[in-house]
Amino acid sequence: MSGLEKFIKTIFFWEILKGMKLTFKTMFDKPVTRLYPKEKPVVPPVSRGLHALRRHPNGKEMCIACGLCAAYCPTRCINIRTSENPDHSKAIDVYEIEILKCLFCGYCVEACPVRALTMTQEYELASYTRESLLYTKAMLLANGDRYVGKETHFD
Amino acid sequence: MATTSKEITVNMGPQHPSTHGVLRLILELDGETVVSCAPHLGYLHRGSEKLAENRTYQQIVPLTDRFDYLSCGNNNLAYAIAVEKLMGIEVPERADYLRTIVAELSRISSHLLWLATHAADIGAVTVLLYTLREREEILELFELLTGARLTVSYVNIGGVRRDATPEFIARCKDFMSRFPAKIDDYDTLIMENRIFVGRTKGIGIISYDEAIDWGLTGGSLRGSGVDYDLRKAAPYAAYDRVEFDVPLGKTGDVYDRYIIRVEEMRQSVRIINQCFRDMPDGPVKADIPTVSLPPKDRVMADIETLAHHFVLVSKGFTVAPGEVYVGCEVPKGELGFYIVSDGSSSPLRMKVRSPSFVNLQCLPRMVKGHMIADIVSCIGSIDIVLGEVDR
Ligand code: SF4
Ligand code: SF4
Repeated sequence: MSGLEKFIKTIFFWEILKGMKLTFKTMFDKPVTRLYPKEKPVVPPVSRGLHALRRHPNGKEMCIACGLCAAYCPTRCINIRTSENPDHSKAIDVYEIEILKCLFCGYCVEACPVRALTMTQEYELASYTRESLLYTKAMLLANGDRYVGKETHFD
Repeated sequence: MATTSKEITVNMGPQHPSTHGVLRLILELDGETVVSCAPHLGYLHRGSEKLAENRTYQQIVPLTDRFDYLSCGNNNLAYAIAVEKLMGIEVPERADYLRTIVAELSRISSHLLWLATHAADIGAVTVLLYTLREREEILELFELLTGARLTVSYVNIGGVRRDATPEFIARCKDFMSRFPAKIDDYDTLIMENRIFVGRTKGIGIISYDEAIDWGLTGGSLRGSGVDYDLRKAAPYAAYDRVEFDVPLGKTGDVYDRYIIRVEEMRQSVRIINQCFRDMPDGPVKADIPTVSLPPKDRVMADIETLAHHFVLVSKGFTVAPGEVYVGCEVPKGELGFYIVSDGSSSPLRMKVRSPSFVNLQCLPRMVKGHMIADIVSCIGSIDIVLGEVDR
């Protein structure tokens, strides 16, 4: 750059003008921002959102209460308590996921041998109370019912 | 009128917006000149190294996401390579390429956020709006590939967790074709801007020898002109099969460190494009029955596999006694994992050499004698993440 050119560029704020040009050009681009609560982003089916328990086509729960998901979970946030039915089959008394502790790593889904557990595209999990973030079996099954027939994580 | 000069002590942080997290600096000031600076750490300490001692090797992967939460793919990779080296596991070739792609995407997204905050600290807030636009695209790519935007937990011991879908490959290639033009845009905004140049050139100079003596790594080291990049010096994943240049600075000031990090993003694009070109088909998980979980279809089909699945999931795999150190080039520098195994399924000790922690110790040297406003550009230029400094 010659001295004169440099001098002219300096007094006319050349590099600032160049930056301004980019800014003006960008003004006519399509906005990339979303008006969030009104326009929701579309998350891909593999997204690791809220867990869901699945059912067999006949409505029976798939979960066999083996406890592998709880054992594989790095934060140990899945609680399972079982008892014995009169016909000696296994009954699930408690199945709950403490979502506040959950990392959404998806290991529990990998661990489940019968594909009873999956993850869905629900991501708006904020709440005002801690209690409402303890997801019980009924809540997880209800979430699974919403995703029947749809592709979910690790399916 | 004669003025008297007296040094005062000022507390900067831990909630100062430009300390990039919870870094606290105790400054001795003579007017506006910094006489000494002492970083105080530990506000984000979570005891990750201790936590690792009672997790199985598999369960530590999500923990590594939380070190440098801006480039999770790289952390997973460094940890997985350390365990694989300890166990002598060979990873399928496709997995190597996918690991490289994720590591480089993480590098770009980390550098984008670094550029955004660094420029914003110095006063050029516009850059932030542009870089976050591109970073969002990368996060969406991560979500498509792994299911999570930030804490990907993608690299597993023995491979990666999911294969890339054609949709991911198409979108990633498309992004890579558009991205270099965006890097030029960032350069347009600040590279010659007289305020940015004035606030970065000649500030925080670290000479070639000093950079080595302080143990700097990553962009902070290469900004001083030291040609050391672990991707070249000790190649891992697919880095020995791709071509790329290592950009080097000359003077070792804040401006040089900015230049080379921007150039690194261009090189990352080059690496990713080559990976897509060369990536072979094949499995993405090593077929080692003692380590990787069997495929789901087989689990319920025969009882041996089912029993094996139960043992692997509930107990984890064991690692023969021994110790290993592996360092990987993450966006901030050399991330090293030193793992000692006593033959059980969780490490006896896991030491993490985090680049941000080592690079940060150079800050008092960098800012000494400069103005108080230069501290902000120096902190930005060493690119720290407090999650990694404190672990
Ligand atoms: S996603 Fe991870 S942290 Fe959450 S319940 Fe499953 S295994 Fe546990
Ligand atoms: S691993 Fe699957 S089947 Fe076993 S308890 Fe968990 S959800 Fe139920």
